[in-house]
Amino acid sequence: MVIQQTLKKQQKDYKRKYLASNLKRNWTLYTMVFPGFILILIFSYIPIYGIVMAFQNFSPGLGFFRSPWAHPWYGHFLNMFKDYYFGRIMTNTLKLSIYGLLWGFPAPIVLALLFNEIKHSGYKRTAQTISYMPYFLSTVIIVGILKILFASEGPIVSLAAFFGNDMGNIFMDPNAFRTLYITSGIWTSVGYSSIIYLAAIAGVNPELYESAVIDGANRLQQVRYITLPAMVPTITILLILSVSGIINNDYQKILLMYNPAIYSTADVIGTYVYRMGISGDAGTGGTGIINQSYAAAVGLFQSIVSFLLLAIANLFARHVGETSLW
Amino acid sequence: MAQSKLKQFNKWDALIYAVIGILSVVFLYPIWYCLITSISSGDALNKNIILLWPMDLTLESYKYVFTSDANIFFYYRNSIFYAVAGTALSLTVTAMMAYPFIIKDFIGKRFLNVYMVITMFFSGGLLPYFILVSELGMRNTVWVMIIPGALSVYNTIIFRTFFRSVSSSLREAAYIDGAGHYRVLAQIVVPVSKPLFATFALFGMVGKWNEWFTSYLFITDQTLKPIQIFLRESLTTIQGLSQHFSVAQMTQIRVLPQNVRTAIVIITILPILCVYPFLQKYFVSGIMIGSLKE
Repeated sequence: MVIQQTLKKQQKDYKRKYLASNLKRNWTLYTMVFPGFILILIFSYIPIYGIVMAFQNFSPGLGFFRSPWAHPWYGHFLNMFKDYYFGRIMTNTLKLSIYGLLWGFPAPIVLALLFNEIKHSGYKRTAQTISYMPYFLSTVIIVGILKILFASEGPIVSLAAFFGNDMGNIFMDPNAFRTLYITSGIWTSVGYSSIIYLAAIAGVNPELYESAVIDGANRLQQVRYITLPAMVPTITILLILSVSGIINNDYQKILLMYNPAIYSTADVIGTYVYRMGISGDAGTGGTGIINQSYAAAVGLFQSIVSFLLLAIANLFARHVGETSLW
Repeated sequence: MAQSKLKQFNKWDALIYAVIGILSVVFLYPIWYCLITSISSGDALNKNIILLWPMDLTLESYKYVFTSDANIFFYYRNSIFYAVAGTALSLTVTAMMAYPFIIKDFIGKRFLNVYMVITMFFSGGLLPYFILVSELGMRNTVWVMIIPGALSVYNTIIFRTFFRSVSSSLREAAYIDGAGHYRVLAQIVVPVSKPLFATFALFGMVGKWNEWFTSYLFITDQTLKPIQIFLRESLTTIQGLSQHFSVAQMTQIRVLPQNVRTAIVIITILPILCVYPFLQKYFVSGIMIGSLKE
């Protein structure tokens, strides 16, 4: 008994001494992480706590901590499902993402396969360099260039006019929005996204191709039976990530592209949250009223759905194949 | 025989080369169009369709952009300041956050790691963030462009991985000579990690240069706006160019709005094009660093 107690005491003493000497040696390390710690606390954790505003009737004067709770606490979510525009923003969000995925997801895979077939390294390198470049232009520039290309003095409208077609202003046409958004998106990122697939292809053992050729496989068969299978793990992971992104669009780009005339196809969850919670532009319901708690609730709904989609897609991938995120 | 078949340039190769060639033209064309239109005269643009080559070469539109009241260089200067200051701060904070992780007996590593990684999976979303930054009184200040994004957890993890590869005997020797942690970080770890810093400085600055949404949310003060906001107002809004340029003046010197629009696009992407060769060199490896899991 006594021995045990003294042992414990000794251990405690030892621990304290160790801590003291460690602190003496390493206290500067804590001053090093301090700025980062505070930045994360303020700009990540406080906003996470701020999610409570979706359950409050938030008022800027009172802040996250003192704003009164909503009655019932899930009231804003009820209102969301009753919102006249909810159906429209959901449909637009999903359609835009799904069409975007259908066109945009295979594009870098095809591009990577094409690049891989080019044997002349100078030609290949030049083409690749050109294809990455749009990725480094800002969203404002991308949308700006898009508007320049379709301006009335621009090449596309003038050519159409030359052949007797009056295109009008394509940015006012709800039917054109999705095509413009998706095409410009592919233009921006297809080259860059192809890099990761090229890396997967580079990992293939060249002997596989050699023996395939000896067995009489043609080019298409080599792609089908060697290159593509090697890309499957990468494809799976990126597909899981894209599926969870179905409910998210690049709303910042849409904010630059859209106008009230095309809300019927262009207004998505992100832009609606922005208008409802921040800009208060008329055209949501025509009222121009800001309701920050409501907007936060819609935003939270979006994050939750996105997380669920990720979990489901991951489960599915694990069930069907061997690759999964976790 | 099979080998020679592999090396032959057959009709499939021709097709693939052609497709890639066409794609390259498509990738390049929008920027090429901006270039040729910005150096064509307004009259030429008025009478013809400018498609592939500039017509009636002139620098009139650039001269107009530089001398008009729009004062594009003012926004340019703001952006350069945000890019340089923001990146410098970001690299400093990130390096300081990453360094302690390589010290063996630093207590609190595990906690800090969890503390950081949680923020990669959860975020407050747009509104809580917007309200927080507004409540902090950062609207219409220089700080909002520099501080909130200064620490990226993702970059910290990459820095940490890179720092671990710095030989520990180098550090041990310095500690024995009585150097403190700050000194070791500044005089041993940072110099050894030069390629890392060069890459992230370059990418950080390009990112800041291209950044527009933060300033769109928080900056309404004309004197603080970066170049991207100037572009947004001039190119994508309904009022368009007339917000910054006088249409009457343009008509007078026979420059069309399209000339001016393309000229400011070229002026804005020029810095990116200048650093692009260096970017290009680094980012393929950069992607690979990012995909490494611990």
